Amino acid sequence: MKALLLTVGLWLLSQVGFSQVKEKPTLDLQNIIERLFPLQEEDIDYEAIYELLLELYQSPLDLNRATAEELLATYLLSPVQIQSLLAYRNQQGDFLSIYELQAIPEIDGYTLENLLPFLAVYDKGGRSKPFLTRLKEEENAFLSSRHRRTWELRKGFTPSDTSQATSRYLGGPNDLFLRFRIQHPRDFSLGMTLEKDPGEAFAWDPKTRRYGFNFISFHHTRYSMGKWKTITLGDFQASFGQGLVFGAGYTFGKGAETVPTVRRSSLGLLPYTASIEGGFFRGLGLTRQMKQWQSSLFFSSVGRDARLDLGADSLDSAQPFISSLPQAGLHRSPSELATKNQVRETSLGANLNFAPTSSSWSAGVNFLHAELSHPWIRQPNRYNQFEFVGQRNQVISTYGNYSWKNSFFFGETALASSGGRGTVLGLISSLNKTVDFSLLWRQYDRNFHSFYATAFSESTRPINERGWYLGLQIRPSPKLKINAYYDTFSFPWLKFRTYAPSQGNEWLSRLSYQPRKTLVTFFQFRQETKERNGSEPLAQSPSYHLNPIKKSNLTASLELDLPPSLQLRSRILWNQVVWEGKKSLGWMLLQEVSYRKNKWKFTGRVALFDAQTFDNRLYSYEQNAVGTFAIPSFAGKGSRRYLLTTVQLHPKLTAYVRIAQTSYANQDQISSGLQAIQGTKQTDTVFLLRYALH
Amino acid sequence: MYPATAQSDLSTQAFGAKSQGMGSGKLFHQDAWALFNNVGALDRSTSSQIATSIDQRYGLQELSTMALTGLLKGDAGSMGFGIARYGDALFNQHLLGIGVSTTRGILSFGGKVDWMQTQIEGFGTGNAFLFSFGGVAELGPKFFLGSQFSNLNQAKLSKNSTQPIPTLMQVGLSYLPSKNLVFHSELEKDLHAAPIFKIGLQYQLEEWIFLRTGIHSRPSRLSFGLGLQKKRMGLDYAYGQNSALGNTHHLSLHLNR
Repeated sequence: MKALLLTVGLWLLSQVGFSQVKEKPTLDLQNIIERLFPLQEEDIDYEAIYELLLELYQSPLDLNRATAEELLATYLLSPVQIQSLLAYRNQQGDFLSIYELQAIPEIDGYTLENLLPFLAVYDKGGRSKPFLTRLKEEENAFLSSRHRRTWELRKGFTPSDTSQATSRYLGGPNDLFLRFRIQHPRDFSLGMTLEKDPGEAFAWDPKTRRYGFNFISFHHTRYSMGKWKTITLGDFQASFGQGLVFGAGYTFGKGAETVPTVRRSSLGLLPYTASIEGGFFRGLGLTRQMKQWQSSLFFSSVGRDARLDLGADSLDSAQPFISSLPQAGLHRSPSELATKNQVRETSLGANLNFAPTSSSWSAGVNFLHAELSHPWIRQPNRYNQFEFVGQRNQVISTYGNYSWKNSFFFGETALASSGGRGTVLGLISSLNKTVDFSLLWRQYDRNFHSFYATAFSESTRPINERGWYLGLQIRPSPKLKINAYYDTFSFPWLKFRTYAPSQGNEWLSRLSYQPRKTLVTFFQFRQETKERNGSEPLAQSPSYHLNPIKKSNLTASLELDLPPSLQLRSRILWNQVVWEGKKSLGWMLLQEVSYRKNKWKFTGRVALFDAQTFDNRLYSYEQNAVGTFAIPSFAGKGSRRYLLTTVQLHPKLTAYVRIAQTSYANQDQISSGLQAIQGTKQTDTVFLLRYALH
Repeated sequence: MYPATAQSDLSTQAFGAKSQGMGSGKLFHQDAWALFNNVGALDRSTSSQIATSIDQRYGLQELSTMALTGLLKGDAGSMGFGIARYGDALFNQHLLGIGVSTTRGILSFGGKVDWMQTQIEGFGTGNAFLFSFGGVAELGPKFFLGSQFSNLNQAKLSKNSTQPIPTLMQVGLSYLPSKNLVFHSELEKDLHAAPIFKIGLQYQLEEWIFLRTGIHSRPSRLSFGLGLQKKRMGLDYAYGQNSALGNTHHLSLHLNR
């Protein structure tokens, strides 16, 4: 798949600024995403994780400075490999080249190949030129503009059929995106992102904070300015500890990579570059390094979308309150626009980290105070009794890391102002050179409120959950890899669609076989059992009765490289859902072909899918224009095809054109509500131009 | 409903905290408990041994097991004798077993006879004889294959009862990637129930410390274990986690000759 993603890879390499680095290895982004990403279960927006991964991998680690913590964050090295790398560096001194890693017997050829894009040996010596000159001379500066559109008419864009003019979108169907970014690893990053979603209007209206584009994000981050490790202005994220307080939108957990991803690494303050309109801080953040101590402090004040209500009782003093906080960031209809920027969230965050030099442990403390400009009063329902209400939330935590032999232990425990607690404890360990093992225990109270938490959990948020996770990786030979995990969990309080305490378990096993560099195959089986409200009417039983729902998924994949210009990828996805004695099936078959010639690259895919119920829907990662990311899901019966063309028009200018179409065999309407399309086909296009400023 | 069948009956329980800490897999444990777990593995033990154990489940005395077993290793093969009690005064079972095992080339195999007594207050007492066979084959330096049939004669709880004692078959594979690491996996099929999958892992941290973990599929259970071995004496402890019912604790002691 290496060359298949060469364009993406090349872009990343150019981002990386390899001027100081002798070798230019390629980056297989698709492979990394499919390995590290959590298995898709919900239609959540993965763009934030994708941006974070890019952030992580765009700045290669300095092989001669990297700590165990930083090496763990690459997710590419096992504990035994990290320990032998550090031991080698201690004994032999600095690495002269990344290829010197071959001298470490624990690091095999395949691992090394995967590692190359993420490690570098940097020249010694500081920055001789002033900042403005460095900024001017930086090669890693890009301007991207993107247009996306669904060509079939959605109901929201049709003329209103009644006098009720409110039920239509205010803007046109075009999705526009503009981004500027200039960065240098460990020195600075400067960027701006502008976005208009389909249906949103271009308007200059300070009252609704619309200045042309609906979403505007900006950041300026500087690193290593004397004792200041990081100074960031604008939009940013924070990642410290195991994600109970500061998670930075980082939701790896259960995926095909079964061992290293259970542990979170403290990445510190990071610029926010995604176009998702939430989950980030806006303000000023500072990190200062004082020998073994590192302290971070930030202040954020950001407008959030909220639906405000005045309350039914007019005798009240008519203080408006928040009834819901929409997360989608869409402002298409007058009703959606009415939620835009209705409340202000003010946050004050702090972290103190202590890492004794050349010792095997580190520890820290996190604190976050968040305040909303209006109180949040939820509409009570059966399961949200212990969710956050009010105007203020504080959460404080302490975390620690410890390494011993070939094991890394980690943990964090947090306390929210509601009195709710959350705790994660775990370890990742190399039992021998070929076997890696991970174990994680977590417990989150039903009133554990932490707005930016992304700690390991089965649910989308770490609340109301207990569980144990066991992960295993065996590599009996360099060509063969076996991954497996088992996770057992319980939800002590009620959940959405589960109106009684419930429990479940999940396991996965994956066999990967790579007989040669150009051929990769894998088989993956996963099974999950959970409980859900039974479908019998409530009248027939005095309380909600839960029934188990069992989902099984099978994936078989074959990727074949035919040098110099052709790549093939075939995949079969199968699933089965057993619910109240009924079995339903889902299938998807896909074939992808990539071809590159000179300045052109084409990637095309055809797929057939047949998912009997919505629970059988199938998720499949698709290639897209650079910086554009989605994992679409398919339900119903139909076919899917796309063609992505990449062409280098000029040494500084690259164009991406993508046409994708889904056609359904068994339905004549796609989506519902204002998004509804009358017809059996949906056609989407992406057109992206990327211009290098130097 | 969480079936408790997997450990409700002396004839189906796994014996010894070592097995309990590794997902209740039975086929490959080379110790005196092999008499109850898989008589075919009895002769793979390196020495004669005497062992005792206690299993405490969900804090209920009614679900406790106590057992004592001995293994005598000779030139021609091994012989085992054991006794176990499960339950309380209202419902209890006793198992008395005697078995022999021998090794020929890569194959170890054996057979045993159990006498099982079930007593239910107010209902009386039932007796039955069970016949079981098992074996372990060394496929290579890193792989072992194991198999066992228990209660092959499909005995009932008593002559007057129609309640059958479970007839079980297990097949499994053991993988030893290195000196300090052991994986066991097995599939257990009861004639009248869906198959159970078990997987166990043992890691030898030091010469005398063993760490164990395992998974049992039906009911879904996770287990952890610790083993200590000092000269001839050994102690094993296991913790079983079942989110529906609570936790189980298992302790066993052994003495080698």
